Amino acid sequence: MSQKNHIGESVTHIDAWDKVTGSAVYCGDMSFLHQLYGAVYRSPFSHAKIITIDLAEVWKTPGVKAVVTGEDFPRLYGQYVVDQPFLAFGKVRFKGEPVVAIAADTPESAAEAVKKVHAVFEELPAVLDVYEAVAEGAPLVHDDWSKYSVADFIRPEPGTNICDHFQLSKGDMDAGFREADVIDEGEFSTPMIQHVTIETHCAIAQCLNDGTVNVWSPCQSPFAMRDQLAAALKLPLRKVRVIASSIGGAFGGKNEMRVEPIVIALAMKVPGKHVKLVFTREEEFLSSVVRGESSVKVKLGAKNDGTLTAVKVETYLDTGAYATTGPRVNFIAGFASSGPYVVPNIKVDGYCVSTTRQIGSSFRGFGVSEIAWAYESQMDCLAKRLKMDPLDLRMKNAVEDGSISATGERLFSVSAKQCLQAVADAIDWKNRDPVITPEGKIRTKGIATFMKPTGTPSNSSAVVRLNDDGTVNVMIGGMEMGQSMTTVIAQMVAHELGISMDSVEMTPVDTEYCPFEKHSSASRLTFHIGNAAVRAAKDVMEQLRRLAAIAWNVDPRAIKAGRGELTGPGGQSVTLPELRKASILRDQDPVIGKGAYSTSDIYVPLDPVTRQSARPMIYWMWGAQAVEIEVDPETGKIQVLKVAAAHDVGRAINPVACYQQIEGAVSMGVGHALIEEMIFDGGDILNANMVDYKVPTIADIPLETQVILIENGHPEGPYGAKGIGEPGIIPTVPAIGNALCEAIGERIHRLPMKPEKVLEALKKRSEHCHAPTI
Amino acid sequence: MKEIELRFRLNGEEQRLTVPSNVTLLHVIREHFGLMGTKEGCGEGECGACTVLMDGRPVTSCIILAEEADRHDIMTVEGLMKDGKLNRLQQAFLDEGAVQCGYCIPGMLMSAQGLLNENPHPTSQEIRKGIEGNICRCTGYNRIVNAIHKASQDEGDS
Ligand code: FES
Ligand code: FES
Repeated sequence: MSQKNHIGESVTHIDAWDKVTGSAVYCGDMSFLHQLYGAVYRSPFSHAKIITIDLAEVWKTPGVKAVVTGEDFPRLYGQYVVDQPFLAFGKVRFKGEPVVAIAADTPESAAEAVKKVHAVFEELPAVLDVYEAVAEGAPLVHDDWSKYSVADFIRPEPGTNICDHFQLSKGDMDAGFREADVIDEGEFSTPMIQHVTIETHCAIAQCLNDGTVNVWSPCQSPFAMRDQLAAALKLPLRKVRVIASSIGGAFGGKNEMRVEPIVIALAMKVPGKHVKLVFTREEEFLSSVVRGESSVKVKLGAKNDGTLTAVKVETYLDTGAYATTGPRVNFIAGFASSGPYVVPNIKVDGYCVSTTRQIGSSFRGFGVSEIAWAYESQMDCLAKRLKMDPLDLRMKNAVEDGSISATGERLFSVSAKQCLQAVADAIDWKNRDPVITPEGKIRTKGIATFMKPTGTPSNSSAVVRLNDDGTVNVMIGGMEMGQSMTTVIAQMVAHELGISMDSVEMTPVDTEYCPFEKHSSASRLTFHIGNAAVRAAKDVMEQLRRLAAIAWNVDPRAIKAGRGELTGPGGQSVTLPELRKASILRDQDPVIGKGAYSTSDIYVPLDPVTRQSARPMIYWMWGAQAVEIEVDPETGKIQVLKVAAAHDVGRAINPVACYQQIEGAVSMGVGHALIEEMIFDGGDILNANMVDYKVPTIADIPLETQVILIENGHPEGPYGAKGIGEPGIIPTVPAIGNALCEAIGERIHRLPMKPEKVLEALKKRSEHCHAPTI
Repeated sequence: MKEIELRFRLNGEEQRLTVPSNVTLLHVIREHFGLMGTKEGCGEGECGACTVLMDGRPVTSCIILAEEADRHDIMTVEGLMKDGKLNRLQQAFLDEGAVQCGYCIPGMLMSAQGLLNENPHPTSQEIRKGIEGNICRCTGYNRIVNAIHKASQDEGDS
């Protein structure tokens, strides 16, 4: 029988052929006959009351077919806090917020009409910084949290800009610090950055008179979008159809509705017509989503031998004008705040703060990047105080199987130490004394680790439709965005059914006929959809067993079912590739396998105050990276020579796909460490274009990236697999920061570590790490 | 807007059309000819997603006026396949795992093709230089370099 294994094979991505021939269809490539083109008039102020909007001249522009303002359409939406208008009404909360949307026959007419909008605003005081936002008497971005529907894990603080206050406590923090021989603390911050997917946001909407809403979009989570839209538009779920296109990069940035609300509001004005809008690169910076600024204060207490006794973390995350996923980012960051270390006494306060700035939302890493930048930098500071090797300090405290996590879970399937050791070996950590090259550059090494959870509880489903030639169509609701998830799921189905990869067709996602998927985020699809797809494939085999029993006239229990193979008691047999020959399929019901997977039963609800739980997360991702860098003391420029990255993928279903995810994440991490930031003058972005907002080109990436896959099978994962979409980005930044501190004897506390900051740090080079005396 | 008449070769075929004088080559390729393989990422010459070949050399079609293509030979990603088969660069991109979301890939392929047209056996340094203007947010580039290197070593035309 044709038993190719498929699991563990680096199969070429099933969509790569379309992508190298230019035939993959992205949303911007789609058009409908007589479609209209949208354009947006945006707020010129960070914070202002809308007094009047005069549209008379707009309507006079030739070709204009629809105009809509927030007043016409005062609806709110939101994943966790329902606070965001389709178009601003009452007031605007960030510069660039959509205020008026216009649809016209051509993009040119629509753009022309935007210039004719006359709006009068009354400016309100802007809130452009998290610390200002939480200060006593700060102007409120949202007047009253209680007016919004808010998910139950979120704790807004009434009368403030604190949209969520996350708290976690374990043991007795004060006692832990009293026990400490050394206490070391610091504050680390990150600027606002953007995903800069090469494809900008885009959507097409069509609304029909019977209430149907059709949306085409490169969205990460089509079902989450459907659910939000149905709630906002007060429609039954069946009336909202989200048809997903290929996605030209997402990284968390396409997890939110951005263009969709605008085109839907317009399409409702012109029933039957399709309305299309593609964001320009400037609009992408201005009003898609960003990773908001963060400030993290970390305080560590340790015995002289390095044993951690207490950790205190206080985090401020800027979620901007609307909450979107901000509170969830705050939650996940909070969970991961004390790092992959055994700490008996912990206190975490995480504040998700509203400001009148761009909307802070999901970004690969989901808060853990910011947190790890802080605690892993601080761990190196502590090592220095203790005169310990930073690797030894980490090894001494790292969690292992059986350790109790910050949230009270007995951990299993842990590989923190294994990852640390693997990268230490790969970078030759023992020989890490700084070296001065003949050109006068300083070469040093740095190391960092992390732990990151996936979203829990959550659910996934899959349908495997068997065709009578033994091929299958697989329907899922999660999105391929370049991470090769569809290939990996096809591999699992092919494996279970004993068929070739060519026999598996992955159906494009459409909420009208695909099964439900919670989210394409949190590095969760391989694990969750994988489990569902394996069940669906097994269900196909079960149904075939029943059919074979009828055809062969035997007791179904007497038939053995293997991977894609049935064997009867009398020696009868059938394999999927030879299904037709076996003639067990006649005019019976079609074989449609279904599988669902949910972590609701595994999840143990958290204590609402301390957030302790026996099983708060379905799995944790483990990894470590070590880097070697070269610093030019003349120019301040940092060149990353090598990154060694060890990540526990559980089981590499497709090793090349795992390498790709880690390599891509590392190069993005290098961008975050060294070059990326949105620069502001008040509420104005000064670099809302790709000339001035630099992302890594091939000249910026590490000269060598060595990826080490750790396969520490997870007992609940499909074939042991876990996720790997996000984690590669997390340790890169602190590892570079730690190497830099080795090189220049000074620590940079705010990203990015640009040459001018390195030069400045070199100038002051006083003491290494600031620490209070105890 | 003034209309202009253009004549050029597009993926080997003679084309004639009349367009407003201010439209870009990218616009003509996508909107007039419906060749959607060429992407727009920035519209300002910075990302390389819109790269096509003009007389065998890579140009960013978002900042070139259609007028400038008059009487030239233009090739887009759709022109790479021959006789229904992938060319060696396309095949190498598949084999080396150089493709993720795919949005930068048409531009990347055209820059690579332009490089190989000029320099059939580039060094790794020359390859890196050749794709410096093409931004990929997904891959980390090394697999793309490997793919171009592999294609440059394969024999055969293309
Ligand atoms: S779209 Fe032409 S260079 Fe970016
Ligand atoms: S593959 Fe996604 S941008 Fe290059």
